[in-house]
Amino acid sequence: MREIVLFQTLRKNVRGSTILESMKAAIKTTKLTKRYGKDIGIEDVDLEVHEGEVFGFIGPNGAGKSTTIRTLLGLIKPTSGRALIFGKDITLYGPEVREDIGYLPSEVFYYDNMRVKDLLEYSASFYDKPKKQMQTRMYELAELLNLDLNKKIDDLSYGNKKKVGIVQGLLHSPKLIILDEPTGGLDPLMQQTFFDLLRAENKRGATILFSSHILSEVQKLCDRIAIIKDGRIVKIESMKDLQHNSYLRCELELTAPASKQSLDLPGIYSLERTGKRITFLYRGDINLLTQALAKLQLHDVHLREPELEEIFMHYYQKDA
Amino acid sequence: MNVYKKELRFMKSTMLLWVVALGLVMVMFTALYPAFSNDVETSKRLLEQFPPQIRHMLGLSLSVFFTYLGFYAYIFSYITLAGGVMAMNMGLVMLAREQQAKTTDFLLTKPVTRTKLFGAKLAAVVSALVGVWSVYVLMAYGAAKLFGAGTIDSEKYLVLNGVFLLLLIWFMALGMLVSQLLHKIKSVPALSLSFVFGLFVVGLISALIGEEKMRFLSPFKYVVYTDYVANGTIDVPYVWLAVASSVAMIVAAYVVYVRRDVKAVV
Repeated sequence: MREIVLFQTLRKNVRGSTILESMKAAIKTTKLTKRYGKDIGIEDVDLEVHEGEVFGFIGPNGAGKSTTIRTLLGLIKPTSGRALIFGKDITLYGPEVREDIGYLPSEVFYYDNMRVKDLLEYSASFYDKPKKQMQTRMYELAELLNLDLNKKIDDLSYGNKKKVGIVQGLLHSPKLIILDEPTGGLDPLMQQTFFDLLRAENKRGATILFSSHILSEVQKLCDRIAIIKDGRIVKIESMKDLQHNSYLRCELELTAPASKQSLDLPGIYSLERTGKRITFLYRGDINLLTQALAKLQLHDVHLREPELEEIFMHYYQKDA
Repeated sequence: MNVYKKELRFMKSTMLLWVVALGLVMVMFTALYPAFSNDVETSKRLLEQFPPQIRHMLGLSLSVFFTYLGFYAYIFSYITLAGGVMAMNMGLVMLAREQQAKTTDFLLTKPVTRTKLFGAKLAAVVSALVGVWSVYVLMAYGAAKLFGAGTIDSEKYLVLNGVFLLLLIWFMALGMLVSQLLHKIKSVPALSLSFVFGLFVVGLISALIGEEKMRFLSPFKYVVYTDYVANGTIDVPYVWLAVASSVAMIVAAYVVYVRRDVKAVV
């Protein structure tokens, strides 16, 4: 108890937060490995998620995000290595550990012929928390997400089924919330509501592990992130550092052949010219970029955040 | 327990369906009894037309056929066939219900051990089978009385029906094991019909050729019902075989269920 008093996590808000050294790890994996015969699912994954933080887990499809999460949840048995959640070994204390976890999966499926309310009450019946409290929370969340509790699950749209997944994962007020690609199917307004909900949960002390291949979502919410590729953790960074290192992907369509146009600007990488198109990556002051673009005869301009795939290709080719 | 109650609720319509199905099969057959019992001489001559091997295969015993119990021993094969399909269906679905509904993630990430889940599901299916079986026994007795069965040796009647329950458990266990050995179940009825009818035919063949060594292959022939009705003899080792193999299949299903990796539904 003394450690908690001495080493309390100070949180201002999600972004720009200062997390002091926390002695308590919500999740701690040591060389967690899952092999399927010769194929590697994940290998030597060392992760530490501090209590109270929002931790992003990003990587391309097939990188091992789901494998890691499913191992933490007991759906998959690890080949070797260890994982502790709130100090307890997941293999030895599976049910105890899962009492405090809320899992929001990417694909939601539920028993046919059940009403939303029945499913949620069935879900709640597994947890050793006060029934009344969970019921109240269920109604609160359903109201917030605009979910009709009396509808049959079969009759719901994909987005609404997703909402059932959200309520199901949160109604027992878990200490650790694990999300696996959670926002697919939600309209932008609902996504916003969902993120606000997550922030509120985080404020009341919940730790969040957020797995996604959508960088913008991760940027909105996370304090630190881990990047996984081909089953191995390649980087663990704070959000600030990632933002500092991220860049824009630029595609220019010109009115004259590209070879004749010059783009003299520091911070340009991977420049390619084909016909009347120039594509490149830019890292730096946006004003310098727009000034440089203003000098060109442009037909069209596309500026966008890079796909995670592109970040890897650029970022890790450099390191390699 | 919440899982036990929920599993029973999931099986409600199946149970009802099979009570009706078994009832119909049984009533249909029992309705034939008066035809045989009323004119024993003609019926006997009819049966004598069949070669003895065929009679043995079909369970038509000249000595007991014209008592109600003997007749029941004959129709019993078909009742157990229907019951076998029901039980194997339930066994298959018991553990594969989540796989079909793709709700495995939902259930297995709850704070409950797989052992507890398995136990609750097993208890629910056994309860369902005992429930359907009890209703069946009552219906069968009612039908017997309705169609002029006269006095029935209650001990033998109960033992026969007890064997039925054992067979139900056996097929449930088979369904459980098969569901865990297959990666995906495309059609539950197709599986249970093939296995149950297959084993039934194996039983018929083993009786037809009179090969005692083949008898253990089909649970339908572990107890020769006509022998039991006629002489009260049961080959107890075969009964133990049924019990032991049921237990073995349940344990095997349990081991696979507890150990398996649940991959993401793509």
